[in-house]
Amino acid sequence: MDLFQQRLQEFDALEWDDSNQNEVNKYFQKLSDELRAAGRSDLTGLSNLNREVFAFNKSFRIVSDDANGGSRDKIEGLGPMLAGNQTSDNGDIVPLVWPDI
Amino acid sequence: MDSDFEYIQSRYAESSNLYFKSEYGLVLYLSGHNRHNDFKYELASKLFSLSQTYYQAFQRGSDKYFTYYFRKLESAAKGFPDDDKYFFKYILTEKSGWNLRHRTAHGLIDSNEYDIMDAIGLLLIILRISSYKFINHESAAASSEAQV
Repeated sequence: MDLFQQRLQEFDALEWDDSNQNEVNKYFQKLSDELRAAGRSDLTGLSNLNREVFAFNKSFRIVSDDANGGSRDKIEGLGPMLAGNQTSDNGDIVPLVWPDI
Repeated sequence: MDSDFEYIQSRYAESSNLYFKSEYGLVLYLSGHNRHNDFKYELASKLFSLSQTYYQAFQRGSDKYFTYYFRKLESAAKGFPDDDKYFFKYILTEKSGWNLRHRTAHGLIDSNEYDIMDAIGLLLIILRISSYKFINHESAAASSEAQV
């Protein structure tokens, strides 16, 4: 069993609930670091994907569906935890949204 | 992108922790990737089934699980506002669910076999129904005629 599978199994065996959201975030951040250190950068994407699943804001609030002219309501659904602007290395200001899959 | 959701789907299937399974399942559902009634029903059923495991843990002395179980049941019930019928059906008449109406009406359980799970399920149904706004169509029609 490789490191990634082993860590996932250990994660699945944890008795965490939604009060442990920060710990979940740190767990997958640490796992990504471990994978990089072990030369398995190809798996950091999956580790980050697990992290993103827990980071999304999940809302069942009913909102107006503006994309369809607001004539219908819809469930708000997934929203980013972070949204704003970021200055890139060449000075351009680019929108930052995370998570976003 | 599709491969991301396939991976999340596999994590959803693998997880047996109520919190983890909820999160993977809700991303599948709320992203619109799996927003159809069959999946909605499956998700609610699996979370309820898993909740029962947590309830059993409570019976072995874990208060934490019981509180969490309550909250998850409540959020699952709130989570499907347009489809209360699935929730009601799961508790009352679904064979793969609790099937409470059938078990009660056909005398399949004795009075001492009812437990707090059944009471919570019924209480949640009552809470859902109590949030409805009931309209008396006859008096509404009479009132509009009087205004004319």
